Amino acid sequence: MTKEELGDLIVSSTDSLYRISKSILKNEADCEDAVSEAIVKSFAKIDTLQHTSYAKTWLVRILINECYRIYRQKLFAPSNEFAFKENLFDEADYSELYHAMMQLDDKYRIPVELYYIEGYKIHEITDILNRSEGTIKSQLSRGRQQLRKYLESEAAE
Amino acid sequence: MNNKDYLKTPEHFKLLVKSKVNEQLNTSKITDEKTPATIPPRKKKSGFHFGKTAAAAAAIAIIATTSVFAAKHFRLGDYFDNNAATYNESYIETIDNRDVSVKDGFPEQMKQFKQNSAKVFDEPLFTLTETYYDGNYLYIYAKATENGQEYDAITSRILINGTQYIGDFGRLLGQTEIEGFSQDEYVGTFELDGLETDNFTVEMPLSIYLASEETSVTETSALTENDSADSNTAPALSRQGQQTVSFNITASDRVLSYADQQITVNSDITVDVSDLKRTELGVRLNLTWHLDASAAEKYLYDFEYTDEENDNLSGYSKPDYQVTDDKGTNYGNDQIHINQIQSTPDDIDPVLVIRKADGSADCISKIFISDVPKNAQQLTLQLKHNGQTIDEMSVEISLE
Repeated sequence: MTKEELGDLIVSSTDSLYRISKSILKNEADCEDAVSEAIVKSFAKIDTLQHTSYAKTWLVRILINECYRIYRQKLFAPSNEFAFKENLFDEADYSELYHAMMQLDDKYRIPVELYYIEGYKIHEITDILNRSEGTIKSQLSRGRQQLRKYLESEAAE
Repeated sequence: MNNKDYLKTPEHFKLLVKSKVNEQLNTSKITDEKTPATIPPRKKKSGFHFGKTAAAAAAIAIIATTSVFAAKHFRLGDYFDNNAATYNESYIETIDNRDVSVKDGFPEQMKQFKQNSAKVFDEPLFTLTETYYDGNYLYIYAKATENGQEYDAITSRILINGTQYIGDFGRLLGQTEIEGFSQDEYVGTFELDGLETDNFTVEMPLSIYLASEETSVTETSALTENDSADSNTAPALSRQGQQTVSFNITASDRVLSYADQQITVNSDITVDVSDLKRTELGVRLNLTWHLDASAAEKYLYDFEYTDEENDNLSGYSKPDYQVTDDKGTNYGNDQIHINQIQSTPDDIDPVLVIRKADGSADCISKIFISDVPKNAQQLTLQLKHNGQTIDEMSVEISLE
């Protein structure tokens, strides 16, 4: 894959990169940092990408690693203790589904996001998240249950 | 669900991505013109990469000091390095393929999963070259043979003395580009909880697909996974056949197994210690606290994390353990690994709490403590909640 092709892939995946980073980090500035860093790293490591068909999965994996790195940094930085809450529920643009997704536990939200929103296949999610197939299936199932419960309770109110 | 109106990407974010991409393309053009072999500039790394930096420094030191003797290079070692896992290279065993048996079909215990197939797979599809067993986790490395290039052999379980153990084995499809592995390499990881012997024969029942096909469902797991995603969302598969690969693991000389222990902490709390094993790497054990109703009410109030707490948004810290030994060692967080293979902090529930109808509760943790000195004869584990130790939930475990 050439650098120009990687650039095209990144630009055409912008929506996806935003949604995935937002599902982990929530804070807009953190998402921007994660995506910026993922872009830099993907260009730096383009020579290690052997099969173009896996480029998107590869890119998403780099992004998720960056998101978790920033998440961990924030977690252990006392001055940023409450940073994750910023922008969480005060944006009118967010859909009802996004609000519902944010109610999911982390471990369910990311697989649900990748499977139902981004359309990845189970074996691709196992590659991206480095979890077993059984774990992903189980997390998808439990994530759906949580989501269903939340949406039902919202409808009842 | 669809993603059309799920979350709108802000315009400034789109601009940021375009600008970053252009910046990288321009940077690489300039770099390519000046110094073709230079890697594009990267941002400063955080302290979290210390392990990799130290590993790289150690590797350079080894190369510098052992230039005459080339040490055997293990692919499982590369795999562990890539996953930042704690491991002891001396535990990696090279497998002689004369000791690996291959036969068509599934083992007798799995006859309900047998499927008639036109093809017979009694020849190896991969060469199994390395195994690693640390007393609890078994890792397997293999590489596709020439005849096996067109196939993908996968399984989510192995059999040892007729007992099934869950894990994963398959080609490193899609996750290989970053880590320097190729797509014809296989890695398997299995958790052998409750295994009573450290010398054993492994039977791997493999489902065989064409490598070019989707490999998103293993039917051996799908048949037993009631809690799985909708099967109609998975792509169709055409299994080519089944094969069983068997090999031996001999590790009793490096794994010291202890008898299960039941410890009375006080009148309200007892502890079960099982799968207690010691190697040069450290000590592994499964720990179950049994709390009666009054103890559960007293010590486990607000113990399970809510969604908000799970996000670690408000300074809440998950339940944890403080570990000391009889030689005065106070083990650090990087030496205490709870419910995990590797030191990845995401998605780990350190203590599984099972509350019962009568108000009593069980708290279960699988713990690995690394760097335990050889002369340590006792470990003391104390449960911590929200960063504070709970005095009454302290247990002493004998290593004699």
